[in-house]
Amino acid sequence: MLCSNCGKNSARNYVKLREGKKVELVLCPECYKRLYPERDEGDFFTQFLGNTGIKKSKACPNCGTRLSDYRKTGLLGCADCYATFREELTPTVRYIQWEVRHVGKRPTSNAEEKYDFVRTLVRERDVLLAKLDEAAAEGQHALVLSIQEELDRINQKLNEEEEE
Amino acid sequence: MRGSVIQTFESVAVSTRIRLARNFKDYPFPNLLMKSSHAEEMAEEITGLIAAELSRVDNFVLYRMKGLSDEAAAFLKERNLISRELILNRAVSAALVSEDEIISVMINEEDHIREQYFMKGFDLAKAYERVVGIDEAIADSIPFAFDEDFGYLTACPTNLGTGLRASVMLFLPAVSRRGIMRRVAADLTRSGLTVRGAYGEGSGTEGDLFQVSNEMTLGLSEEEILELVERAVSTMTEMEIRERERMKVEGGMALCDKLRRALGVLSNCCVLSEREFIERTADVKLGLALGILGCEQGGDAGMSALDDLLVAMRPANINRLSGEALSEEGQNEYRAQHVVHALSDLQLYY
Ligand SMILES: [Zn+2]
Ligand SMILES: [Zn+2]
Repeated sequence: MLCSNCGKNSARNYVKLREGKKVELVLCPECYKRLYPERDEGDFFTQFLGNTGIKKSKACPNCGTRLSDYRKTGLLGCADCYATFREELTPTVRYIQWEVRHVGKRPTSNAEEKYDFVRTLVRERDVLLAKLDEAAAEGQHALVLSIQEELDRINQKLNEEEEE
Repeated sequence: MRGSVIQTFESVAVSTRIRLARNFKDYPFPNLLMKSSHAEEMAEEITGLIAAELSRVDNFVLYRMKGLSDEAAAFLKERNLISRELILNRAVSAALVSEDEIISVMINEEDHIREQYFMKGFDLAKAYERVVGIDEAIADSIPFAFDEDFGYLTACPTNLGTGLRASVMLFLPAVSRRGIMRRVAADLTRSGLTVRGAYGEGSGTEGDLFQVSNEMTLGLSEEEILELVERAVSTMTEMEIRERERMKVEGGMALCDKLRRALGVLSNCCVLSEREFIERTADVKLGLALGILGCEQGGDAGMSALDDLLVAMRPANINRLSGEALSEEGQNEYRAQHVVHALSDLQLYY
């Protein structure tokens, strides 16, 4: 299956919520990343303001969190916030933790490679489960069976992946 | 007076809990995720990914908090399987609980993932080992947010680094009744530890239960953190047992009277509020620890059974046990009846 946007790369299924409805997308990962960056429309606007030179305090490029938000809630917005505010946060971290240098365990696995694959399967499964509910509610027995088969296939793939 | 003062760790250290905080690197942290227009969709994905990894480790029961009644949520919270914060985040949160109720993985609490091992007694090394097993299973296909300087990244900087919180619940009736808890807490704070009452912050000394845990999570290795807590628990246990011995020597008839009365009330009451139950149970446990009261199965076993009873007699647990949504008065009567039976089974004596 080819990407419905660029028509070149091989595509995956993605699901998006649009005005409360699930929309299925057939895109390659590159196009998906470009068309649906992980942030809200509202953040796009604040970034836009930032770029036009209107004076605004620094915001995390990934999630839009500002230091003023952190000071209100005591919470950062995403992993990238720490890189964005490293300089500003370091004294706070030193005050809380006495140290600013991690010495413990670190991630070792090659999770990155498996992640996209597993996530795509989980997304496909979510879509199928919703369809299954619908088909069952409408009493479409043949459809229920075929969806069930599809689900079994996905679950098997997930298990195989995990056993590797 | 029957026996001598019990000298075991278990007579002081009631339970051990290890918790690791982890986050996905590509989803906003829960506090922000909740406000997103895709909150539901992202929460469903996160839950699905973690559940898929955990399903091969053990049998876990998945609770989506949104679909759970207040009563069912309170039940899980009283059993130490979920937190208040997880209930507050119920629009996006979930919990995966092992069938033996020892491991729980909270999803979209303050962080995306909170892995927890909770056991009776005192065994930090075992608890940590079990949590690491869960952590590695999840890490197999989920790349966690990690930074060279700050370690595992968490929504709140208080959990950075290892993301490890090691907590031990201590029964400290002698230390606390001697009025030296404040000084002890100050000493522990200086060594990088925190002490709080068992029933939440500012809950005072109810039941003489105190939770000791590491304050810092960054700049120390996991082993160093466990060692720090281990050392604190050893010191506290020694101190408590010494204070118990003093208490027994100094207490005389008044002490004996107080502890026997507690047993008398719990064995014969018709109405029992939670507050009185917690207070009297602490006295009976103290009586067993001092050897002023006895138990057919041994003092340690008696104390452990009373700890189970403390959980089983909390409001949502009573409702589950009775199969009814009882009023507070109803619960107090049910509690009395149940406790009288339980104590008669335990065969406590003086
Ligand atoms: Zn494409
Ligand atoms: Zn951010």
